[in-house]
Amino acid sequence: MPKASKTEDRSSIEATLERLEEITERLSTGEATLEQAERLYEEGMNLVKRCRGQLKSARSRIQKLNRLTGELDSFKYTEGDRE
Amino acid sequence: MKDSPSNVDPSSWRASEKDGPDRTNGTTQESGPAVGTPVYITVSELNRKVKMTIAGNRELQSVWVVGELSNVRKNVSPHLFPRLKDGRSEVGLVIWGDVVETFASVIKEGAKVLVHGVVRVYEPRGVYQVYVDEVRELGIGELYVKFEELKKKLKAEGLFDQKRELPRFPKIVGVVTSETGAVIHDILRNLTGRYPPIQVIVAAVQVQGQGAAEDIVGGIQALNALEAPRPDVLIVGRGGGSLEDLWAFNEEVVARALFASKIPTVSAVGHQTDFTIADFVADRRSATPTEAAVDVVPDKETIFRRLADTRESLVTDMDRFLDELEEETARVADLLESLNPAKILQRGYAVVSHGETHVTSISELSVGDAVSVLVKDGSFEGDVKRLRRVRRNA
Repeated sequence: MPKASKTEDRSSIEATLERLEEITERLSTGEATLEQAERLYEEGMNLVKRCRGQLKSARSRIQKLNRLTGELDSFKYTEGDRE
Repeated sequence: MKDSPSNVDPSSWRASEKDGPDRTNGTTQESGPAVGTPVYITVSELNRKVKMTIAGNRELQSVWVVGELSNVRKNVSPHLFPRLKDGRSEVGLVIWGDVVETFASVIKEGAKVLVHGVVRVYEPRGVYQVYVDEVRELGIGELYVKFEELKKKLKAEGLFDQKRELPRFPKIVGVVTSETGAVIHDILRNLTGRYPPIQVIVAAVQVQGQGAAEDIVGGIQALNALEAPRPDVLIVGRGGGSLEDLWAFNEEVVARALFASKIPTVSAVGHQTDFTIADFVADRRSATPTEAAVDVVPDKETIFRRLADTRESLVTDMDRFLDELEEETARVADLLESLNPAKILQRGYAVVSHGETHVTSISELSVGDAVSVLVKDGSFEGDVKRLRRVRRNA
């Protein structure tokens, strides 16, 4: 699976979740053949994995940003206090 | 003092009364009223009497009189005898040569003045006059009147109704004030202290005295004319002072320049209580120059605090957003797992194939057809022996 570029992350997570909904819907109707069902299931599992990966990297990026801006805040405050 | 009351001998007055008999009819008192010549006095005596009365009135020995000078005609003599008048009355003035010389710049035809002097009667002509020893150009009283008149006029014209928003985060502040004195330093210190990135352009002007109003107007116009580093807001002001000191800020030209300014203006004149015309016209009035700085730029501490708050809620919102996505992913993953085809076989279900197709209905089969049956751990082959339709209530 190609790695999603940063700017696509959010929309692609949502698109992925949408595709997953479609897959579960098709699977639950029981219309798919076993082979189709297996392919859908496999695709679904890959998408879940991808979602989780994207969410995880988003989390860690956000946390890094939070830490950074938190430090920035405390820096500014101390600078202000010194005056 | 030429004729102070003490110069007049009261005894001579009584004496003249005693001299009366030759001018009064001696019979009057004896033969009863309404008959013969009434008691009379001479013109000189009348004038002298009035003169004495006036001389005896302390208030009239030192008065300030306000009015407009007229009949200021230079004579061969160095003395002047102009008239002082207001809308309804007039009085004669006597200004001796030395006084004329001292106040020559003020004594002009039509000038509104305040004169000081003593009121005296000039006996030979039976007139009273003010003998002037000081002449002043009209000061404070007149200024107040001018102030009120201009205020009324400009208000009626709508000059007080232009109240534009000041920019929240100005980049450049223009300051129109004197480059000398504490005010400019005060403004600069407060502006940069509160908001370090601010740039300031100062239009140094004279804020009091002759030409100050025109100078201030020039400053406002010059800052408005700037193109590239154009101020976002103007502070126009000076420190406190007397009414005369602040007067430039009550001049009509300054009011009009403020109103015409394309850049929003903040007036900052004097102390808390001083109100000038400029204060009414400016988009915003700050009580003092220090306060103007506070009004014009945001405080960096406040910005940082707000920034921290915003950051906090951003962090919370983002966390919640990610939580929701994670929940959604987990839900779909669970659902998918429950639909895992392998799991279905795990639970004991089988998949029957005939050729390439899955058998989902008996109508797809005939007796004798070969079928393949898939179960969880393998498959087996068989032939169809019998077909039976089952009605199911689903």
